[in-house]
Amino acid sequence: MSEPGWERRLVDRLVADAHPVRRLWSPEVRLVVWLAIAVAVLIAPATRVLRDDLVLRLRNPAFVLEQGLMLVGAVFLGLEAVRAAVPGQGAGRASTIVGWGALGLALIWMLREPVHGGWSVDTFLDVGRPCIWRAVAWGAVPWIVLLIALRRGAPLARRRAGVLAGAATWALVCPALRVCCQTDELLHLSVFHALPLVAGAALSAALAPILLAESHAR
Amino acid sequence: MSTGGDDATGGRGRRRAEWMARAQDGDREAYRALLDDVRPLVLAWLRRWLDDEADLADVYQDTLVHLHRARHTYDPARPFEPWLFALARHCAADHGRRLRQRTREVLVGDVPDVAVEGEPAQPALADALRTLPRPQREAFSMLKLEGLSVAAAASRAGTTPGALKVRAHRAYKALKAFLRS
Repeated sequence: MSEPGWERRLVDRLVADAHPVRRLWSPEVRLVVWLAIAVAVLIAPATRVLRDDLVLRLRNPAFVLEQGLMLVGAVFLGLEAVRAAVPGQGAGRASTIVGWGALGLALIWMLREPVHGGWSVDTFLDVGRPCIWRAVAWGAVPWIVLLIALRRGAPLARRRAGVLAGAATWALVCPALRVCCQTDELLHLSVFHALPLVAGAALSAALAPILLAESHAR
Repeated sequence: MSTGGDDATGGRGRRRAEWMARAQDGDREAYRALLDDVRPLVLAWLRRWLDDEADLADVYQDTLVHLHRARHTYDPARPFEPWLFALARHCAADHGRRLRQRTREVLVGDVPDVAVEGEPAQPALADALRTLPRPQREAFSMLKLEGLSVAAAASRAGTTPGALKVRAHRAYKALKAFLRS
């Protein structure tokens, strides 16, 4: 195909617009920066409302394993999210499996707690309200920061990048909730800890095509 | 052991990576050299997925624009081609989605106004065919009554094989529903 006039004009226009751009940091560096910001944002409010029996709970290997798995999931899914913003650095199969696998195991592990049968609906909602509020408030800043990091790149599969960003964010929020919440009960954990994570990932996926649209070279 | 061809390919890849790195720093000559150099590469790659020249030109144009917008995401330490092909693949897939959407809109909005050539033997099928929008009727007639290949039928209808298949598929579904009723 000989080069048509429109193509020459397009190339001329692109070349004329070729101002210097700031290269994107590597995904690993961006992940570390995001984790640092997210942890800083989470630590301040979480340390004010730590559960009374935290020291005791931290001696329980099952509790520590659950939080550890959640953090591993957050790190790997966060890494995949920032990778998704770089063309050609598609899904790392191993890290995706580790990320989702760790998150799934942590959720299953978390939901092994017994059911408390004696609560009224009002009590159940009263006990859960602070957790929902914290899940939303504590997750908002890390999620927005991660979306900004993704927008600085060029995410091609925006919905995928969105679901990864949401899952990574609320997987990081989950352990913070657990070290603050006194309630180790199946329904409470399902509705007020696990559900915000799932809802956060779903909402992030739904909004990503809009929020991650059109990123430009800087 | 690398062959001469591999060396040449590796050399070209390194040169492109170098041009791109210089383009990121604002070197316009390097950027022009890169855009000229990748032209045959991108077009050859896109031709594997697109056989319509107009579609090819559209997707190629999109790819260049995406390359320009995303140029800050290229890491000079990594090979250039996977980065470029990821953009081209995305543009081709996006174009396919838009094409399917457009085809759907055209089919829904079109009204049958011309009788088909070559009536089928069964009167019920002839009646059913008359209810179809013209593009669907033509697609069905060319593929099933005249026995043309998808490529030949698409060429006659002035569309892509993919769009023609969509029309034919919709015709089958509509005919099936009509004949059942």
